[in-house]
Amino acid sequence: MNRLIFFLPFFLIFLIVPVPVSSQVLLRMIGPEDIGGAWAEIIDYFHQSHPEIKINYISGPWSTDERQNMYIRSFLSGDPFELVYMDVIWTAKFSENGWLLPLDKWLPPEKQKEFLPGDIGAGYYKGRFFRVPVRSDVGMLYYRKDLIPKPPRTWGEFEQLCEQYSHPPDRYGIVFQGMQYEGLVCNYLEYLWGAGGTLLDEKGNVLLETPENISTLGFMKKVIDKGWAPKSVITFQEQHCLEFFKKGRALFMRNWPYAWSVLERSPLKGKIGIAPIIHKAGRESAGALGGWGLGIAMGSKNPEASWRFIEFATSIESQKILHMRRGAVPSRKALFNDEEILKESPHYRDLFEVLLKARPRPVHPDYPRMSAILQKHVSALLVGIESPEEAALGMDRSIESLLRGRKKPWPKRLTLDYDLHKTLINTSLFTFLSVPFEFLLGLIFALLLDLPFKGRSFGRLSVLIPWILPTAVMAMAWQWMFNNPFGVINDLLLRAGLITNSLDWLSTPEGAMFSAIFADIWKTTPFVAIILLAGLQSIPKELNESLSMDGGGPLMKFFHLTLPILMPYIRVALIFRIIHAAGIFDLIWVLTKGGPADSTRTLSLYIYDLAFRYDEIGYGLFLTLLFLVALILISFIIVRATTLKYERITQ
Amino acid sequence: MKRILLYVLFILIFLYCLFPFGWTLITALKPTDEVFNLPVTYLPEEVSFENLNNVFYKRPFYRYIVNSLIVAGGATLLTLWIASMVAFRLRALDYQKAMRVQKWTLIGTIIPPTLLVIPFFIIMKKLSLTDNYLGLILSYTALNLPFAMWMLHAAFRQLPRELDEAALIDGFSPMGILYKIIMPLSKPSLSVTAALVFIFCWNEFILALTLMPSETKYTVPVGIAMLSGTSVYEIPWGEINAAVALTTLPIILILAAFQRWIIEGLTQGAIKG
Amino acid sequence: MAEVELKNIEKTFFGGLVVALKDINIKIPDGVFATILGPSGCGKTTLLRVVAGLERPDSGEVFIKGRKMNKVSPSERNIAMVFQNYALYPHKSVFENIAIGLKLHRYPMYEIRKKVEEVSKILGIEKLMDRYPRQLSGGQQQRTALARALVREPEVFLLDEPLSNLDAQVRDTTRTELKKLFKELKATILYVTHDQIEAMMMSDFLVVMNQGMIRQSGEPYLIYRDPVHKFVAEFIGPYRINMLSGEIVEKRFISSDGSISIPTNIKKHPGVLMGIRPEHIRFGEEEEIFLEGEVFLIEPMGPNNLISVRVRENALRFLSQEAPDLYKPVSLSFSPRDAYFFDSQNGLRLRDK
Repeated sequence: MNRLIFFLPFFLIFLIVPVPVSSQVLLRMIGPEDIGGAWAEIIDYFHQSHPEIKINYISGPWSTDERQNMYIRSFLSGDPFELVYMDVIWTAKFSENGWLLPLDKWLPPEKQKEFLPGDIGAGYYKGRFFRVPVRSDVGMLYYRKDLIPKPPRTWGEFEQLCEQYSHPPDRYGIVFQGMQYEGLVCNYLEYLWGAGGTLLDEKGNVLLETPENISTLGFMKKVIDKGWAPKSVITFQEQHCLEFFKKGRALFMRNWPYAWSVLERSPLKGKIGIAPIIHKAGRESAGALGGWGLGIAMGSKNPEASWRFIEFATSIESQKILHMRRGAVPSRKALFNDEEILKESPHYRDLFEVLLKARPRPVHPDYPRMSAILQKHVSALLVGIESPEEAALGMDRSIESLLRGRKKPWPKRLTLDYDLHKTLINTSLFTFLSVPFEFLLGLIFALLLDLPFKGRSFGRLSVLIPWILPTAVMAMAWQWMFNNPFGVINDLLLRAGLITNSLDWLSTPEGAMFSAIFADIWKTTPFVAIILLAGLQSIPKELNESLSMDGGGPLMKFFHLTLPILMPYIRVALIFRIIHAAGIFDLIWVLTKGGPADSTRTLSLYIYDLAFRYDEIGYGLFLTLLFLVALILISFIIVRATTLKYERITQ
Repeated sequence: MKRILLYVLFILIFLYCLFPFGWTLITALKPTDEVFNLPVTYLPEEVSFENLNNVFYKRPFYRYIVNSLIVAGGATLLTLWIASMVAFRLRALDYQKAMRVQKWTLIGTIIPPTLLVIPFFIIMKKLSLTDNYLGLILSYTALNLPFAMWMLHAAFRQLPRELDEAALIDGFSPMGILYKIIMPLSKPSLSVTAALVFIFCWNEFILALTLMPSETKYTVPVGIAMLSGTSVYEIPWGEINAAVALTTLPIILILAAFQRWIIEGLTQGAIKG
Repeated sequence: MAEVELKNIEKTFFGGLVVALKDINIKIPDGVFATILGPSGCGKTTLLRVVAGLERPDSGEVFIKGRKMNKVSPSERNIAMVFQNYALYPHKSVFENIAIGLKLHRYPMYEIRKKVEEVSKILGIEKLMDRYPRQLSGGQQQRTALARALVREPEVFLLDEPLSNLDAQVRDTTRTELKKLFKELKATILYVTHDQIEAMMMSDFLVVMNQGMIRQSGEPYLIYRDPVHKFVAEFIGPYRINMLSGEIVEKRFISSDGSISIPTNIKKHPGVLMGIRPEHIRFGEEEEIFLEGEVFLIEPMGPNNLISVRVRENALRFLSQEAPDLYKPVSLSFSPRDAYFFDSQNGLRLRDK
């Protein structure tokens, strides 16, 4: 007791005077790989003038979607990254969820005028300001002015020039971003706007089942089908396009302004021109507004410090560094009159005009999800899985059900949720194809392993292996085995003469589903086999012998003796398997991520996306609950259906 | 004649089960260019460890292994500790009452973790245990407890109650009875349960993905799955196969060590269900 | 040396569904070999376990050596118990099994070794110290269990049907050995069994139980000779007692079929069961009560035969060395003093006023 009192003052001191762990404020931001070291230089200067603040630039993946997810995860986890380096399209969603600190007091309208209007506009949501533009961007058309007289303005002119001057595979017509990611949506929207179409009308209704959309999609498909763009565009992001164009393999390239400086340092120096994006005859050109800006995360411990850095990073000097080292387009109007810059990039005068007309993507908190839907369908279109009409319909339905469903209470939403329906179909397909085969195979295995033979325990050991290996890890192995063209499965089939061309397993809907089912059967057959084996071994030998004496052949024995005794085991295995198959996640997420075009997206993947990518945890939980109830019901039904009379009586 | 047919079938089964693993191993041992040979070569022309090397040093793969060990090991210990106490208590009850309690926990064994991610995530976030080993350990413990309780309860029940009573008279405390008498006598079941729980935790994916988002804390399955996510152009297949081989080999070894018991344990649990 | 006393003990299981012990009041004097006897389910094992502390009574008090033991844990009661199935620790050697109780009570190692050696010698298992229980025969296991109990030098020994798992031959010799062994100890022994011959042979003090209640307690011979309840009369005795139904009228017992009539001091009683032991009936006409009947079954039992005779509507069994022909008329006789009368409703012994 006395000892406690002795220590009391120490405790009190700790309560009153918090022990300073470190006096330095740490601010983190995520960005792409800092090629050219622009950020390093900016941060360095900042550190010199602000020694008490440390900036940690986390180099993240190329994919902006991935980086967005990283930010979202950090917000959800309660330890947000303080400096939010945001793409133009993240503002609505982030502010809608309350993840951003309003910056109105720090950048009042007088100061905003120093920046490009489009960029400032992109920082507003519902009347409040959240994002200071660091760099601007707009999509534009690069062309080889040494090969083409003048740049095309319309789709028609473009097609003509491609016909005339392109000769694949040495030189294609155009190269653009066709991979399934946000960049694809920019390309697509530019064509859609250029066709006079739009995503949402003024009232916010989805306007995609329109002739404008279908002609846009048709045009994009035509570009690939006619060979004006290489088939590999579907794997291209900005940097791949640049590489391709730099090697002189295309007449045109759709890309962002940054590419200019890279090209001017390549053998193509002096041969490049830029023009606004092509449009349909009679319509207007529109480039997608891009760019990045900085915001402050809500809940960060030292917003003042964060503002210091933002102020610094968006100053004229910093933007100039970004431009010089990285080719970034500044967002401050003043820099477009800067002597040094104009000397290096005389085209900036024209660029300025284009920038003033840049068109933002729809400002909507659900934009990321809408974009995901668009990406999916345009990608499916380009790959050939969907026709323009199908893609247009799919986009329209999905986005419409998304928007409408958002406002409705969850039960009503169930009938509206187009994605959910598709998911249910996939899940049922997967479950009801996979489970019967597992059981069939499992039964055969069990029957075989029941026979006495040398090395039986070795056989049992090997049978367990597929089940005991981690699904996610083996899914990677399967990805490799199903690879086109390097996969061993294609190779074996080719050698056996069963196919003449290696098949594209994982990029077609049917192939992907098949691969998933195949991998699942491989893994779970052992589980079924072991349980059934236990059942087989519980059959008393005497029953078998007595039935033989009564004149029963193997088939009769099977149906009248084996099967009834196996029933409890079958029941257990069945329940386990159906529940697991319906809830499958690991395998599919790693193998196909639900693709292509959502063809292997099962319910648990959808729920996962809802909770962790679309930020709809409530709806996700609702679906989980329904799912659980459904599973319990199914279990009951199975138990009822498979309990034989004799079991019921002796219960 | 029948014999030969049977043996052929057995060989087929054997191949079926081991082929993916074997193929992964072969690919892992090929030098990077040979991995992409067409047509595919079945035996590596030269055995090279470069993939294995790369995997270990390029990505902090050894870290992933350490993480998995911490999480799986921690969860296994915690699960066994709690489950043994519960099973001990259940054993003292008469069979009917105990089975009634067990029936409720049965639901726990059936529900796949994929359905519970969201609730787990929310709980762990509220407890500030996301991106923290303890969060994942607790989650795994919760998931495995029903199974472990089931197994240990069955195992403990095999021991006659008179042992407890003799021990009581001899002067053992109740915890003493558990640790010095019941557990030593249930070593086989304990080992099997521990092995199965460990394997489950080692293999688990979705919870690890969700609850441990920072790269340094990835567990092995998540680490491997993310190997291709970050680099855009090139998917390092050679390295991926090496990682897969590295991960799966120890599991196969554990399996070989415990196989008889694992099968027993599985089927016992299944029947009682 | 300790006397064991139970006062007003009640014990039920399953929330009152099963009544194991009812109204138990008994005082077992110290130093005696007391046997608790009864058919299965009578509560004898429960009684033993209550004394041991393995069961807590619903109400009532347990005293050992005058101290109230209700709240005392089994290991503190200074008792030792030998279980029906021996309950040896399979993972410990014979030595460890025996020593464990002492170890847990923190005896120093050298003393433990000495005591274990002594006890093993007494029981003849000193050569088995390193073996494990599964390597021992049934008899050896039992002796190990006994050793484990003995070494604790308790004040009360509790034995729960220790001989029921042994073969018949072994049982006989072990019985005698046990009796010899315990005679030398000064402890109180509580021995539970359902075998009444065993009980009669071994005990100084007998407690007969049925349906959770103590029917009679005291010296074995007295219980045999003077049962207070029909149950006791039927349970005790080498052969089952003959019971005839009838009534007592005017100081005479008349059997229901009127064939038998016996004088008694009891004046009158409507429903009566008369008991007469097979040992007390003989062929011939020596004794006062004289009956005539015919033999319908002879069961040879080695030196004696069990003869079943029909007397009108009654069947009587008794011992005899003779083996008369079946279905011939014979005469039997017995003394009225050997007859017991019980109330046919509640089974209590009727006594003359």
